[in-house]
Amino acid sequence: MEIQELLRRLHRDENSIASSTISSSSPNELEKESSVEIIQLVTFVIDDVEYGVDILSVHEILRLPEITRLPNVPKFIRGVINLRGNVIPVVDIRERFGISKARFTELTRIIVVEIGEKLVGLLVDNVHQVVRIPEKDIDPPSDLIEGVSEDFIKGIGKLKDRLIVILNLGYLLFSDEER
Amino acid sequence: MGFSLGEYQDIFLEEADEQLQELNQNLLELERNPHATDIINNIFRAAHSLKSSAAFVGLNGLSELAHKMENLLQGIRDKTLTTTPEIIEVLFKCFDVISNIISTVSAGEEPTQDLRGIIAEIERVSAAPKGGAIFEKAIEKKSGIAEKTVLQPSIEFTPEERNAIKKGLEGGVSCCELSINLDKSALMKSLKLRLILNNLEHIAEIVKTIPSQDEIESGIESENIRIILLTDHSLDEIKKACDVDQVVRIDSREISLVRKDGKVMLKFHAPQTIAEEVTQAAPSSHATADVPDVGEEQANEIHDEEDEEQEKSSEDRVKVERKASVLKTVKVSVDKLDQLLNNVGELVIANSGFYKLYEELRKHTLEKSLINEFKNRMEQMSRIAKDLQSGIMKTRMVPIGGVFSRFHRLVRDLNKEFGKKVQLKILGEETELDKKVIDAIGEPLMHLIRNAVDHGIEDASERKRLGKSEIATITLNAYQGGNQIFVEVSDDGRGLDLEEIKKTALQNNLATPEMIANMDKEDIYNFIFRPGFSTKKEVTDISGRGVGMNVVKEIVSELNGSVQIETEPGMGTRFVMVFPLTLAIIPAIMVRISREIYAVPLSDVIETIKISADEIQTIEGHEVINLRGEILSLLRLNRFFKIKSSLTPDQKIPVVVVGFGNRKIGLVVDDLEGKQEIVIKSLEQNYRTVEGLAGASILGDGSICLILDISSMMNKVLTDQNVILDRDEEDYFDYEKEYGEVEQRTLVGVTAEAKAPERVAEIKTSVMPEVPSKEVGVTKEEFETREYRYPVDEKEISLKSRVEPIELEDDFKIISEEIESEGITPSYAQEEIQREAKESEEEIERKVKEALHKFKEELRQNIEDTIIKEKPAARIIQELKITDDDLDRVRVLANVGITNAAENLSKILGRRVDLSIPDVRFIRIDKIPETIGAIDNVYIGVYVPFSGKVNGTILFSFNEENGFDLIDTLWGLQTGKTRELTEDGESALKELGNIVG
Repeated sequence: MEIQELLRRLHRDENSIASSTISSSSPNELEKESSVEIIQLVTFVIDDVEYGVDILSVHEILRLPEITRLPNVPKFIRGVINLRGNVIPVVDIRERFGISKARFTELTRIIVVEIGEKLVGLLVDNVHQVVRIPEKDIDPPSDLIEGVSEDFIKGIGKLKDRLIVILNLGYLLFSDEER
Repeated sequence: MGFSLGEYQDIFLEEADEQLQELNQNLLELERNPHATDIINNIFRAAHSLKSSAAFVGLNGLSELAHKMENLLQGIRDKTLTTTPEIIEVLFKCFDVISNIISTVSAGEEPTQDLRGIIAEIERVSAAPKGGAIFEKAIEKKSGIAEKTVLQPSIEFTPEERNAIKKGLEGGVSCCELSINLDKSALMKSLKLRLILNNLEHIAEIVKTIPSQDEIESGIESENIRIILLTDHSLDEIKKACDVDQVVRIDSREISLVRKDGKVMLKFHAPQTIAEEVTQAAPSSHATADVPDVGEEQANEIHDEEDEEQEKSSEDRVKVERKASVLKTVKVSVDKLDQLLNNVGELVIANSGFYKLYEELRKHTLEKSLINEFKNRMEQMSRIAKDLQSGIMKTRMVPIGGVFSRFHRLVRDLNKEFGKKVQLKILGEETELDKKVIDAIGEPLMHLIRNAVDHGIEDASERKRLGKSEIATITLNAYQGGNQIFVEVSDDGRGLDLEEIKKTALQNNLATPEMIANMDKEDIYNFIFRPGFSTKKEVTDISGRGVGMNVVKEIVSELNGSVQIETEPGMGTRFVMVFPLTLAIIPAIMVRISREIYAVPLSDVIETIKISADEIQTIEGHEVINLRGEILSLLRLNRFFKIKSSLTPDQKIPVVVVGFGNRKIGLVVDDLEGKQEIVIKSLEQNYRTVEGLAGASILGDGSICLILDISSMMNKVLTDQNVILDRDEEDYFDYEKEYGEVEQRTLVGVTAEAKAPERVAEIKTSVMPEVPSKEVGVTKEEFETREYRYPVDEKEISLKSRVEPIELEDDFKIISEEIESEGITPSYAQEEIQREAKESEEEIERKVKEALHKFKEELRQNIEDTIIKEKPAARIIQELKITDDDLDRVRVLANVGITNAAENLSKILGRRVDLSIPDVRFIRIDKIPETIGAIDNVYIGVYVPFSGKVNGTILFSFNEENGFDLIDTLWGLQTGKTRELTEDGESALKELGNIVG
């Protein structure tokens, strides 16, 4: 709750800055308003934290297929799956974020995302929903999120009373040495 | 002109490459046959195309050079020049310069080659014509204007036509000659031509046509029409007017008036293609200026009756023919084909799933007709899928002829360099290979040919002496056999020198004499593929560095191929490169580890065998087996992939023997699942390369199997010994643990690693948790030397046995002997054979801990007492049921052996040597120093490995002084001379060991 309070305050500050900018540069006002971009996120929840992936990079969402283990790769690479003849790696988000393991359930999904030219599956506990969030409501990453390295976070989206951790996909696939 | 160099560069380079090849081939032909007009025509054509395409992309220097070549050739064609070796040499030089430029361009740089030298050379040779008389005559006839002579067929203008042109030009309209080519296969050509003429008449005044309008009216079938017209419309409009269906090419030449020497002449500019294959953009009208006019312009005296123009139509016509054939092909990137082939491969595999389904249905359904219908459809579909597959595979195939013919030049140059007479014979040019192979095969072929010329072929004089034909032959051949393509390079030279190869292999420490003695010829020949291997004493720039053959081997292996050598002394050598028919689908052996399926490419597999756990021995921590007298290292695939094996210790172990380079290794797997065709999918595409994996493949049921990359696996194993030595299986992936679906008690084979201070043959054994140690006991038929681990109180003791090679009749014997050698000064030779227990390191204990937990408990009760009493010897004796009587018997037998040895030694040395074994007992290995003497004393020891019914190692140890004395004795030197352990001394002691052993 404290965190949210903090963020709300932060939000207010930002708004006040924004409003002051608008008042000082009225000719651009309309343009500014229209250029407020809405970002759509596909979200999933792991241990009560909601994470979001930009919908533009989501290729599709799969029910749990058979995963073939890939030997001699970092542990967070769960293995590879067959996506209509394409062999794509699956990143176990829990393992990647260092969150304790969970069992596969009926809700377990793989979110197939495009990272650069590559297709990568993200193994998640569930897919929560698709939300729309104005770009201005996204804050840069802070160290408020417990346990998840900052590298993985592109920003923190605020939606009413919810906080959504927006993932930086580029950092998910390869471990530090490989990058 | 509306083109960018970037856009057309690729096309230009590709075309230029073809033209260069053609040029090259024909030049070689010309050298052999200097007067063949068709060859000159061919060269001319290649130079001509090169000229126009170079001008097209703006390489004016290149275009000019090609043009000069063309002029020179024109001279030959017109018989004003005769082909001299000098001219051919110049042409070759031109060729080199051009290929130089082309390669500069393809490297992405601007060509800066200075062409003046070569152009000057061309001019020099063209200026000294042998057929001068004709030339002069021509000059006279043409009022000294013509640099070049007539080309057939020319356009003959009647005075009326000429005047009409002149009038038109003076009147401000432009005059041009159009050359329009129709598709060869076009129907109703005359109709099309009439249509063109009709269209043109609307915008231009047609002065003359060839064939004439009358001829066209009468229905003459000609693919080419030339039209002289006067028009005030732009070239674009003219092009549009001519743009009728099936027009493949339109060339236009501007004709203008030139006043020269007070006479009005018609000047023909260089032709330009305004439309080609219809789709090409028409160049704008000022393009003519871009094309160098040098020598191209041909003036005609208007008032003079005898005018001549330069005519290009014959070339154009030929070009049209070529273009027409090009028209039927489509260039597709290999990537697209790969994708397609991949999909089709999947279709074929998916289709095979239907067969399973069919079998199931047949069992369950009673409706026979339905089943039959299903079967028919299924078979039809599978046939189509297979056709599709082979069809697409064929599209990737390119005939090898193009690659082969490149080597004529190489052989020619090598001939000159080495002063040898070698001809290149080419067979099987039409054999088709995968494009990928074609692209890569040039280099290995080049190395093989160079090698053949340099090493294989004898000097002409030597050949004569040997009764061979003076001209040696190198043959390139390609043919298909089964699912493989064979590409051969053979020569009729002296053949490989087996002895020389052996010698070099020994010199370079690639093998020991023993190894070589055991190798068959083929293995020895294979030494030549090793990097740095060369039997040549001198290094030339052609060969001798030992790089070439290694490159051959590497490239061929990369393409999943292999190289075989066949050679016959004095008769020649044949290198056969074998490639799979296609690279996209490969046959593989499927293996299973736990629940994972892996594919081993069949090209890497030598054989599959099944062994029992007993056959595995351990040398310095590496597991090996004896495969028909050959030591084969084993690699447990489950260790490489860090997964728990599901092998049970009593099970026969499947081993896939794979080859990499000249070596072999046995992959230990859980099970063999048969052979299958698989489609390779890259892992990089969506992830990255994974060490040890060549990619993945999708099986018929949609599941993924991973494909092993043997060479990368081996690299990893060789560079990082931990991969196999790391026995810490705790972290291994365990399906039982991970998924816990199967409630099944797993028997885990545990490997004990010996950390003995000596190099002793160690044999690993698998311990089953349920079995008490005694029952895993040793029987002498099984293994003679064996190591056990008895984990007690968090510590493990490994026992090691070392045994004399004496015949043991009953139970396993462990002896310790002391040998006194008498007669060799006051010597004190001691031979020790001991079995000792040793405490192992904590890390090993950790590994075994879990798996052996129960076992430990049990053992603790069994052997605790003996351990506590610190009497391992007694315990061992008890454990193995060795009685004092047994030990005694061993001593007797050992003494028999040692006496024999002493006798032999005496004979050899010519002195009396006595050896005896007074006592046999157990000594722990860490207790040896205690037993022998003070720990500070220096000892010389000799290990003697022995094998037979009993395997083990004998350790002779002498204190330093005795050792030196012994060496002196053995070498017949004065006692006390040796005070340092030299190599000689060492070998003397070794010999002693051998004799005793």
